[in-house]
Amino acid sequence: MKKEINYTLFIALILFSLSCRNKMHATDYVTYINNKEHGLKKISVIDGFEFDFQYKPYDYIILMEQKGSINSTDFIRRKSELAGTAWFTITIKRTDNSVSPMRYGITSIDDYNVRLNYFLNKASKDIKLVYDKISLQPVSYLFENNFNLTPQETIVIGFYLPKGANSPQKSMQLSFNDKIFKTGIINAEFSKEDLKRIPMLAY
Amino acid sequence: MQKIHIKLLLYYLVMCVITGFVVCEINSMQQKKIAVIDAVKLFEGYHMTKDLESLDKIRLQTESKEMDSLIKMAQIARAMHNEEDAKMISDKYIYAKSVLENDYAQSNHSINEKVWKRLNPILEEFGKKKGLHLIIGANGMGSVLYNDGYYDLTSDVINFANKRYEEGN
Repeated sequence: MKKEINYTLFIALILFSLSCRNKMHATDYVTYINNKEHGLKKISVIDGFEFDFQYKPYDYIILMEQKGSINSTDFIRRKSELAGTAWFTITIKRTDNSVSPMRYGITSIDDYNVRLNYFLNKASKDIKLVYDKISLQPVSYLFENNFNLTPQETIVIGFYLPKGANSPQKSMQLSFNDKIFKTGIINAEFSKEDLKRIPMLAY
Repeated sequence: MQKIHIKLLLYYLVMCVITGFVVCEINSMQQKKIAVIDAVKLFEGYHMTKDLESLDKIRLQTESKEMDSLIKMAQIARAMHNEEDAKMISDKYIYAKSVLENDYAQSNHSINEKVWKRLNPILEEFGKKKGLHLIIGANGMGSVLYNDGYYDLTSDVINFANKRYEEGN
């Protein structure tokens, strides 16, 4: 009997703590995730280059995929597909937005092709995620080749979390060892406190 | 008569306060804050230096082991009186050695460049945060001849730089 009471209290406590998490509508939720004050977006400025590391919770990814509209059936299905992974977007640009970083400081088309080849085929080996002191290599990597239409370059990268982790709950550090712009290793730490504070999406 | 005394007393009191305030202001303006940083310790204590070195170390060690293999192969060839092969392997060794030396120098240069590119703005930020007017970099080359540690903020800077490096901006 005592055990049952304890279990009931424990479940009630979990439900209570979940209900305490702030609920947000789609627009506010996206704004929250994109706001660097909330610790889910880290910006490093080095030698005139700006590296933005954006952590993307599952709800955020689905919202972006469904373009803001929420279909609850698709939502649950997609969320279960994403379970056990962690996703990030890395954006690289010049701080003055004058030119794409791919074209900055190059002297020939060969230089450009070296950079393009690196980001298309090699950069994934220079990115890692340290999740709860476990080093993870990417399982998905995409360099969005925008053919110089915008002065920024975007990389989408995903990792399988260690067994047992359904979604990122512990502190993690994304690390990019840039070999093109000679800026060294750029880290972005996402604390477990900030991850826990992510609001629930109201739908 | 008593009124005049009180007025005089008040006058002196106000004058004392004003003088005190002016003296304090001048004093604070004259207190130029200076810090001494051991550049070598900072460079070696910065986590990015260690990370970059450990990444390059694997590659350089592999090259070094290849060279060791070439030495052994040349020794075997000589022991078997195969002078032609021994000469060919020796030539390969000389080439591999020059490649290794070149790679080693390039790695050092690259790490130096990357690390100081990161440390310079961090030092500037640290100086501004601490209200420093001047940061002197001691590097054992004679720029700082004596430092008793009073102005030494090396460990503070190392901690500050590492925190920025690990967490990202």
